[in-house]
Amino acid sequence: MNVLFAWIAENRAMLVPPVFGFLALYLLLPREYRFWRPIGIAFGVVALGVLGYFFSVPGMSLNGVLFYVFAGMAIVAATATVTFPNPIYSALSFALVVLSVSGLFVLRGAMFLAATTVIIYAGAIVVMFLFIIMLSRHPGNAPYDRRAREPFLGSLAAFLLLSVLVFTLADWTKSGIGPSHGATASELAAADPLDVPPRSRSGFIPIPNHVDPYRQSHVRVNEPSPLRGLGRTFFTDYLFVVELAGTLLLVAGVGAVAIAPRRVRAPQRPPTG
Amino acid sequence: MTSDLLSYLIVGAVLFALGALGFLTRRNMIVAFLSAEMMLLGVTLNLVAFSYEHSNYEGQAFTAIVLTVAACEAALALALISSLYRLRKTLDLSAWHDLGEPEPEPLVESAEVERPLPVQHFPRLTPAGHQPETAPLIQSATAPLETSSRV
Repeated sequence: MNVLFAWIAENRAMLVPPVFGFLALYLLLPREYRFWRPIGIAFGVVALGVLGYFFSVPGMSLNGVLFYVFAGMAIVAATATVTFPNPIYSALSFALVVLSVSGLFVLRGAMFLAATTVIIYAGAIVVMFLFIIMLSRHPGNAPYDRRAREPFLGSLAAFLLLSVLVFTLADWTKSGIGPSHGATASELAAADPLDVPPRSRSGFIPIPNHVDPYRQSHVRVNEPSPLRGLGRTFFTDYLFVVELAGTLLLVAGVGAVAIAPRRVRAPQRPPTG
Repeated sequence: MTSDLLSYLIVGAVLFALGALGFLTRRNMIVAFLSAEMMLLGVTLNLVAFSYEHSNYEGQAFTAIVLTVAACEAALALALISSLYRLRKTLDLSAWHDLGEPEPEPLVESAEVERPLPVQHFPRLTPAGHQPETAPLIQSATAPLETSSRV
């Protein structure tokens, strides 16, 4: 018990974002009285500010500024998705989350994934769900949208989950495992057991580690075509997985057609004459 | 560059926790599904950040697979939600609490089962406060005798 208290006293500054986020979410979840919502928004702003202060990107480059913009937009829009009583606003906020996360993808050099995410999520999923919402629309907000189910326990569960994740990441950074000791990226990549040399299970293109230019260079954002490496990874190492994904899509399409409600047919008349 | 990774992981964790909260607390099927998709986005962000940190493409390949699975899931969820909406005319998740079988009959001996009492027919009494019908009955009983004698 004393160890626990000492640990909490040592890390009490780290407890601020999860606790304030918990209060904000508990006050913001849909309920009958909307009086507490501004207070919840204030708590959320405090939690976001402290979070941004702790996990700041060193050196305010353009990359860092863009990271702040996209990450803040993603978190705010995610909170809005969870807390808006109107499901249409929730779906539109989810589209905003998707756009912000694709911005973060672009900052990490994953252009192809950013484009795909926007097309699939914002282009297909959100639009289809907006259709469903509009087809099944109540006048005003439905009673099941106006009140959340167990807001206190839900916020508590999210708080515990988030604090465990944040503390684990912080400990990981403090210990020698994490990438916080000023080692350069290439040293890390050399010392990292996870960074195994590329396998060529199919045996088509054996790529030794010292030849592959896409593994040596860390910053791929400025490369001419980051798509090239991704395509090579797909069609050498993960060829079977790609085929499996295609099969999965086919099966899911057939299943969706089987599940979807059919139009009720009129009883067939016997053929006359 | 190195604490960049931590920032991205934190954003992914926040997205995951918010998605879990929405999935647990919201009662609208569509919002619950969107929250599940938000959890997938958080995990995806982690994968991409690790892929950048280790400078290989495996995380991005995983992310593309996750996107495929998310698309399949969305198609199936759309079909399910629309068919469920047809049945109950509501998007409330609580409307499907009774998705299982109804409660089975209690297992007791057949002799112990309390049968409902048979319905008993009691004789009806004339309500109080009314004139008894005896006097007109006597008159009408005598009248047809005369008519029959005439015939």
